Amino acid sequence: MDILTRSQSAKIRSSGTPQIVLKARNVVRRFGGVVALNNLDLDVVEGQILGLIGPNGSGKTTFFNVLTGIYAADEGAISFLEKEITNLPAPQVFRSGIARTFQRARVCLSLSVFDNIVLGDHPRLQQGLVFNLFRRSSFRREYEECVERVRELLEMFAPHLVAKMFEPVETFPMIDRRRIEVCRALFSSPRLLLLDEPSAGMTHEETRLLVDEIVALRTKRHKLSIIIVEHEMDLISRITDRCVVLNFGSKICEGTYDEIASDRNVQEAYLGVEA
Amino acid sequence: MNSISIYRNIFVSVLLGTLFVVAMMMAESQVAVLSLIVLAAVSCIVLQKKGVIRKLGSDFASAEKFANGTIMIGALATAVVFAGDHFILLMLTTVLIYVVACLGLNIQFGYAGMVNFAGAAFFGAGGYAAAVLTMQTGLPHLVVLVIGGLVAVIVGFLLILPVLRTRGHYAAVVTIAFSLLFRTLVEVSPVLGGAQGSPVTGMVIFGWNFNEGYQIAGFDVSFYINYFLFALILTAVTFTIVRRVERSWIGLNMDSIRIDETASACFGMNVARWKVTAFTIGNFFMGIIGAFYAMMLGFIAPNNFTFGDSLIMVSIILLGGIGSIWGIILATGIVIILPEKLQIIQEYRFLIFSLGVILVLLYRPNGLLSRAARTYFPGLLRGAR
Repeated sequence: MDILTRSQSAKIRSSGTPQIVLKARNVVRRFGGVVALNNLDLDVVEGQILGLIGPNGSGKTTFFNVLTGIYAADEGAISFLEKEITNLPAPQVFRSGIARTFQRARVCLSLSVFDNIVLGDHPRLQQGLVFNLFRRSSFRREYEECVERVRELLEMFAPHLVAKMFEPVETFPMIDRRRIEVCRALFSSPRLLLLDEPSAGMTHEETRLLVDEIVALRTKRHKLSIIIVEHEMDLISRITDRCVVLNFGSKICEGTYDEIASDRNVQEAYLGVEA
Repeated sequence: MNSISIYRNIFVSVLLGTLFVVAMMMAESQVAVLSLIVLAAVSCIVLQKKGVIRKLGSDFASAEKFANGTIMIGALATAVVFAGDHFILLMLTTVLIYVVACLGLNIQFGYAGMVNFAGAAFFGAGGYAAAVLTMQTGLPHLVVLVIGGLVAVIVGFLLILPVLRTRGHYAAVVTIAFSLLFRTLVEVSPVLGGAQGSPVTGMVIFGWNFNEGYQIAGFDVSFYINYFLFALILTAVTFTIVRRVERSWIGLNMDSIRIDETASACFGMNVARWKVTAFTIGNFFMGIIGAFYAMMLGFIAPNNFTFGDSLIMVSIILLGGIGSIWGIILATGIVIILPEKLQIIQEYRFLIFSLGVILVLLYRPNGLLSRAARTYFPGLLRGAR
């Protein structure tokens, strides 16, 4: 199956072979007797947006959790940028360049926008006790640098939040919380971004805005690859280069949105088999 | 808003607060004490309704150094007023001791979200360290204080594995069990004096004997003034360190793991590291101040750190406001002084505190003085301009 889109094949023809950043092979994850992921193979090409879709309980979020080290895989291997990351603990997966958002915008509501975003690059901050508690002028320099970096990031992705950088996140509507969550995930300049149902809990209008912003993201971060889990098919059709469809933990189809939308297996998975 | 009025407001409110504390200490009859309590409660409610408390809060925040200095002077002035009174100085010093212990607990419970019902046990560990070291060795007492803190930390390490592997209620049960276990262990240990307890030497630092009073111009000054002043210094140091923890990446990490451990791990945070850090710093403060407390009393027994005392420490934090340093200081004052002054409630104090905690949780879930949003460097221009 051709995993490149038309526009990308054109780009790649000029620059050589496409780089596959994430390679998952035969990933299996069981919960008791339930097979949540069944021999899943999945590739992500640099700069592409991959849509991961499927009915409820088909294993999409489980894949994210296995990939980011929250769950261990029972079998299989995952490599990222040619490094083996299978079953590494979550902090190490993050350090290898994979950042994510969560299904229910898991931002820290009582903390400020700045606090939330700065947490997104935890490994780069100096964590020594002496540095933090007693070398306050050095700490202040690092802090001011961070304020500047957070401001730049917000100016790029959510300019209206710049002036409200020190206000608690709980004062913002859902769409801004999502934006903050995406900014937190982008703050460390990851190579792979995992978006878990970014449209959940938002209105149609808000979803449309968010899609535009994700599309704009691509032009700002060329090397960033994205996997997006989504139920909103309109969103999937507008932004993905390629889709993988899961059903009961197995991949049932892969291709461009148009290809998978006309696939019989996919229609059956979503609508049921005719009797 | 001009700055003169900010300074004036701070000065006037600290002055009023100090006068209130002095009046409270002086009040002898139960009627006088009760009316003072009612006066304070009513004026707080009225001021809150009129928005004065809010305004004062922002004034205190905008001139923090001045406010802290003024409060320090207010505390010193109170000590001067009661310089001759053993009982009142002892009570005020006890407040400061509990403030330090609760600030330690606040790092664990308020910041990192680790429920610790063994606060009094770590306090007692420091106290027993002081007993053994002052009676058996000639170590300088400042060193004894630090070792008291370290002993509490080491005792805490025994608990670290179960605490790291449990969350919420289960972690609470682990610490409750430990608290009871520790007390029983001390009670049956002949080396530590068993149920009778053990004597502790009074504090001497660089020849400054804390157990000697003074005569100034024919006026007898209680020796407790030494303990009060030293406790005030310890409180100021602890206050500064806890503030800096809050206003650094460390405080941010702790907040983050309290709110969402999984998300923190997904952003590269070593959750266990920050739990251990919070547990260690908190126990260190509890141990140091426990050692100091033992030296002040000249005696330590298992009864000085019952499970009830651990509960009091947790309820102080709930009452004052989880994570709120000033809230904890206020709540400690209320919880320690109230039963002493209001003898009629002595027997019912646990009942009254539990009622207080329930009322606060129902109507002011963030505590009497809720924690303010983090400012890393107060006074620095916030936000974008």
